[in-house]
Amino acid sequence: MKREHHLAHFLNGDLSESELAQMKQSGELDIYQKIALYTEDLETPLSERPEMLDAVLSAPKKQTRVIPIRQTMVWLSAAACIAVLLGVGYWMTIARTTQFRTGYAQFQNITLPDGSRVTLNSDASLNYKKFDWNDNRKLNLEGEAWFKVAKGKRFSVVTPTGTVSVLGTQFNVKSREGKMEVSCFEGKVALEFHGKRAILTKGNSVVIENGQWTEASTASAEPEWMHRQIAFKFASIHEITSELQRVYNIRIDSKLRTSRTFTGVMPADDLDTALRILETAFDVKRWETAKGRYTLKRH
Amino acid sequence: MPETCETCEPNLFATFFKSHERHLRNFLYYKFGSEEQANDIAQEAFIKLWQNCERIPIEKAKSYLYTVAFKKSLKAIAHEKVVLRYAKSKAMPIGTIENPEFLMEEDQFKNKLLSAIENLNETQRVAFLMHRIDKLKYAEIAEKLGISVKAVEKRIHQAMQSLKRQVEYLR
Repeated sequence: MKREHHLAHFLNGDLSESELAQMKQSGELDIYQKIALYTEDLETPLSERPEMLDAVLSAPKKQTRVIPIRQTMVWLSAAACIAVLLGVGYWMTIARTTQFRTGYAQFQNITLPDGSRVTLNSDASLNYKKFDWNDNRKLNLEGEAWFKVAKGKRFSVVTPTGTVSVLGTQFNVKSREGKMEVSCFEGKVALEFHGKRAILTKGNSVVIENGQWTEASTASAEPEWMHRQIAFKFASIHEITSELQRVYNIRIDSKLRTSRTFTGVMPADDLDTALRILETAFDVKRWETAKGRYTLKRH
Repeated sequence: MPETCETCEPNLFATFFKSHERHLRNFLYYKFGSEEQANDIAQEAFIKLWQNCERIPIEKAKSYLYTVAFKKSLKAIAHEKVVLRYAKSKAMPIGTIENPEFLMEEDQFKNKLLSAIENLNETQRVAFLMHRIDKLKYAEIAEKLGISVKAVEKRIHQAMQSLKRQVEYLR
């Protein structure tokens, strides 16, 4: 009976005499002896590599391990996600501005987060940041608006011409084409433009144009436009026509030039009367060339 | 646990390297017959051992080395013929040197045997040549290949049978 894997034992030289005799009997001993003999002196053609040890020993000892890199990537990704979320969150809350805009012949009443009220006159725009409003009451205005400011921290209206700040009061800001009019109806209003500061008290108003400022007084308790009236202070014919265009949503073509100005009130709901006041004030005549379209000519 | 492992000791590592470098390169050569690949993978495996020496005690170094080499060799694609040769310095069997007929027959047999070895399947060839060329004991082969001694014996046994069949067929 042959041992399991007896050829392995034969090659290893640990077969007994009887086992070898058994192999001889089955006629396989000769050929296996030859195979064993002629595989005794085999070698591989590999050349000596004496330089390999130095190459191994001089390899950088600290291997950049895979796991820490993955962890770094995880942290980096997490950090990137947080940054994106913060950015989005910033846009959604802190940087988000609330915007209002009125067209020609439109008004809009706005209540601010602290209860302060704003009425936007025609063709005006206003924006502010809702976030942190109570600590940072600042809004940007183009056009005209009346403000009734609730008591609290400094309330600022930023216009391209200058900034109006108050603590709690009623005032009107008009900012059109480089000209700015501020009227105070209650309390005190601080006015700042080009580094100059002024305090307006109740019943006073100021007009700033071309870096010049002129003081005037306001008799009414609220701005005239709030009562469907348009008030002008040292207004040029151009200023008046553009205001009438805004309020009545009409078109007035005028190439007239005059140094004359107008201070007074026009109705905001009676176009014919308003135009007649204009005709008298500047000594001009109007022609209706088409519906809602007028031309002014010297009388 | 000590801060530095003895595997990191350069002299000890060099001794380990010298006793295993040739066997490892042979082992890789038996697998795919390319000297260049065998050298490259052997070097990579030693470098990996050296870089991770702190985690590997010297008694585990051998199996670690062969495991790394084996894994790396799986990625090697090229499979060339395993070309072997006979050591020239070895003496011929006594009493046969002056018999030209015998010499010719012997040469024929040797050539048949070499091509038979080439045709062995990889696992049989690796185990067989580790025994015949590297003169490793079956237990050592088993350790390096990560298999049981019985499995080594089976591979050797089958290699012998296959060689006999081929040599007789080529006769």
